[in-house]
Amino acid sequence: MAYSEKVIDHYENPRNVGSFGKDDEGVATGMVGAPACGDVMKLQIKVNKDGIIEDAKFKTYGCGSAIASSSLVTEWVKGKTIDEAATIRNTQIAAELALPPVKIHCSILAEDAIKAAIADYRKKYGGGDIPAESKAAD
Amino acid sequence: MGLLQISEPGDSPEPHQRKLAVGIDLGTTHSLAATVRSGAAEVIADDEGRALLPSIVRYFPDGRVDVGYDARAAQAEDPANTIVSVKRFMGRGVADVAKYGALPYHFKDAPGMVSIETAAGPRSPVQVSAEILKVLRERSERALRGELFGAVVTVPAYFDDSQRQATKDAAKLAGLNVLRLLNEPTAAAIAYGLDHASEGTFAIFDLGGGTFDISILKLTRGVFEVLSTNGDSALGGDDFDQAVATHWRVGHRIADAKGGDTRRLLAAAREVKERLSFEEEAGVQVTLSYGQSLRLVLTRSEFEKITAGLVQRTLAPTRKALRDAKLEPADIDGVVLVGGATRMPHLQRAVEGHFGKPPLKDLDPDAVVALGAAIQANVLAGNRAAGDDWLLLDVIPLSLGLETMGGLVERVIPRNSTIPVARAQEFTTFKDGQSAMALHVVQGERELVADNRSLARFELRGIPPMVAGAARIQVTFQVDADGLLSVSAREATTGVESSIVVKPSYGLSDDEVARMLQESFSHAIEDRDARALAEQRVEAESLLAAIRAALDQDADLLGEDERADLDRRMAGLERAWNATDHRAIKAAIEALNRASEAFATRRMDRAVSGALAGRRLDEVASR
Amino acid sequence: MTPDFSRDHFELLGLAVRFAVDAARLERGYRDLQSQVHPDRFAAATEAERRVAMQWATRANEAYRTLRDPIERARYLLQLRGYDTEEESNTSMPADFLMQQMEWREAVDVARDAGDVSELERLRGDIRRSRDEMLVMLERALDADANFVAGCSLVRKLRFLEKLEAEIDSALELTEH
Repeated sequence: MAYSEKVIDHYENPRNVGSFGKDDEGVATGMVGAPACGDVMKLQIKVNKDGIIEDAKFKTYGCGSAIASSSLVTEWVKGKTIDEAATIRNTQIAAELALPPVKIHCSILAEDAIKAAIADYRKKYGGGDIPAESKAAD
Repeated sequence: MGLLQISEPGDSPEPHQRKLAVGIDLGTTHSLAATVRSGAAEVIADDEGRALLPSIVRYFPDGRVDVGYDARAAQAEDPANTIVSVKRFMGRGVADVAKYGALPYHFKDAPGMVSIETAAGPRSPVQVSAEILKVLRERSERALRGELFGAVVTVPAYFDDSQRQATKDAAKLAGLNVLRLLNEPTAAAIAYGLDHASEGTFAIFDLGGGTFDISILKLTRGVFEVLSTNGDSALGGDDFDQAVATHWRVGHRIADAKGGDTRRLLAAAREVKERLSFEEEAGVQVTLSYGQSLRLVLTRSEFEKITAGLVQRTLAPTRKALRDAKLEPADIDGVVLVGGATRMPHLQRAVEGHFGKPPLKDLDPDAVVALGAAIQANVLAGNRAAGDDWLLLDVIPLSLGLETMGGLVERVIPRNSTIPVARAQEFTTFKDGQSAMALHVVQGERELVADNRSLARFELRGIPPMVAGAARIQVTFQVDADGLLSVSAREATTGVESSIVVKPSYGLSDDEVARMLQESFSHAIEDRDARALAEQRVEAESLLAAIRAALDQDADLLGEDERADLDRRMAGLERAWNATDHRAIKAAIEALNRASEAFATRRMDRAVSGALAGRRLDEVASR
Repeated sequence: MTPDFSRDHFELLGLAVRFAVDAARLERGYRDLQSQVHPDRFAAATEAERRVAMQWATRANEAYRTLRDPIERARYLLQLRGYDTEEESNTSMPADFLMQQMEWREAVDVARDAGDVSELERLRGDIRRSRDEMLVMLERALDADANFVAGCSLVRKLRFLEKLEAEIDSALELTEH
């Protein structure tokens, strides 16, 4: 037994690594960190005029599960509206990647990262009513 | 060598009250025993005045066994039945042993630990080591004229749990009461520190025949505190011999050396290696099995070139140990060299280069470990004299953890934790109604289970049915003062409990050790019973003596009923002692032990409270 | 029957319940206690006494381990005061702090790939300085201001620095091979 194949695939071939210019049109950034393991994650979304996330990028310093979780989330949010992306839950990420219990916090970090990016988008461009303060709650 | 006198004459208990205790260095290439006599540690020599016993065991078809010099002399002529460097196989499986290259033995794939097919039948490394220890036990009992109360047996600091457990089993099999397993560099530090009355931070660099340890210790008045340890349990002087033998084999086109020739080449390599510590060039004449006679020569600079890689391999663990201790090389006040292989000049230069100061080598590197173990054994046996009030704080060398889903390791106790240590970790179920949970205990520093050493697997059954994630299973690791692990597991909401002493995966159960032990003494049932009776009587005596001493001090801690119960159990044990049934004595010992538990607990609480109250008033006042 | 472990770590080692700890006194308290309870003192005693000694020595080691390390000590002290440091669940750190972490992690990666030992050591120096500053703030928060919420946040931040140092150590280890 080892990491699930999906984790290994997303870890070895992470999708959407990189970043957008922070002030590019439609770009919002979410940055979170997990004290327990010291992982840091930056997740950016690029939203078009119709409110659809047309691209996403991430940069994660952490273990294989954290990288796989962020890679998966950037894949998932592409093509979704902001409101749809906000419904992604860590349990879905953990289930998709078959994360072991000790690595569940990696999926939580990814969920919090996308929420933080959405909160940043709403702060910058308005729309929606999720206040920024709730970014790390839930 | 002159070890510091550790007690004033007259301070120690009278000779007839002293419990005979020895320290044993069970080495890869040779072993030896030492004891404390008249306040000083000294090695115990054989009848011919030799202290070192080659760690070589030869088995004969009739079951007879040669240990030591005779076996060594026969190693080229009977390689398959003459086991050398058995320490390298302790607690090791076939896959591990394969790493040592071609060996002249017929290994059998026994579960967990290899077994060696000999003329006398299959022998596990535990049994082979027990033969060596038995010789040293008998030698000690002859020299000290009495039965041993106990022994401290040393192990490389970097030995894992399987290797430690195997060593302890071997000692039990040799009929030794193991007072403690002691890490070799720590033993050396005791001998060195007490001898030199040293204070400061020391690195003990211990390159033996088959293992390498580096320990960083802080020596302050009366305390030996190990800050960190690292090493390589498969690197030693033997590897230098191998490198030289390989060099010759290639250079002289000795194709496919047979078992006996391999041994001849290795013996020649060892001799040349040892001489090159003093000479610039050395050579030996070797006659191979097919009659070819060769002159094998090597210069010191050739030797240093061939083995430079091996010397380098000691430096990475050294850096890691320093880093774990959060120290730089310059913070080290002294580097003590231990182990015969540290006599090599290029190794000494490398050590000096790394620490920036010449290493200390005024102790006999072959004897210092046994001497330190003897000093510790003397104290543990209760022969503590005034001035012996020192304390030893050691660590575990490798992290302990559990396998979690996904083949990952959840670390429970990190390496370099001071022992004894306990740590609990909580797990939960991942399926609804899950009633059992398998636990897999591993040791090592890697993230994936497969890259670490598997110690044991066990199953916690009877978890009450709950939804996934609701059960709270607390798994507790306890490492004792020998560095040995036991694991218990408990479901927190219902209290379902399961506890095991981690028996290494090699699978020697307590019963098996007991069976081997009995077989090894004698085949006659009456002899066995006599031996068991003698043993149980000794144990009964020391238990009674310990409880009487405790009552002298702290009888007021017991209620009337408790005191009466204790007295009744003591009388019961005395009655059993007078009879001849060793099983009845054993039962009475267990009953008395149980009856004394509450007393023991309260005595310790009193000692702790006393220590707290004894602190100076201003310390308490600042609270 | 289990021993009486009701005393907290500070009391057991003879210290006031404060973040600021006199290292020499801590060490003395630990050694005094171990010299009473260590299993080596009971190797020839009854089985029951040997077991109790092991439990006590384990307890003493746990107390010393906790109080010796500033992060562990702060977490323990906060716990005694009823505060949870939420290191597992609280992912929202100040943006500038996280940005700094990102930059450091990136710098470590670059230095590791280049095998640049002196750069790794320089980074470790920076991180240690930052850590030391935070420890000063932690002492003020816990001992002078009784601001336990700030204490929790500082403990969380310090965990990132701890991880960074570990990353640098393993990068240095790699460059040695």
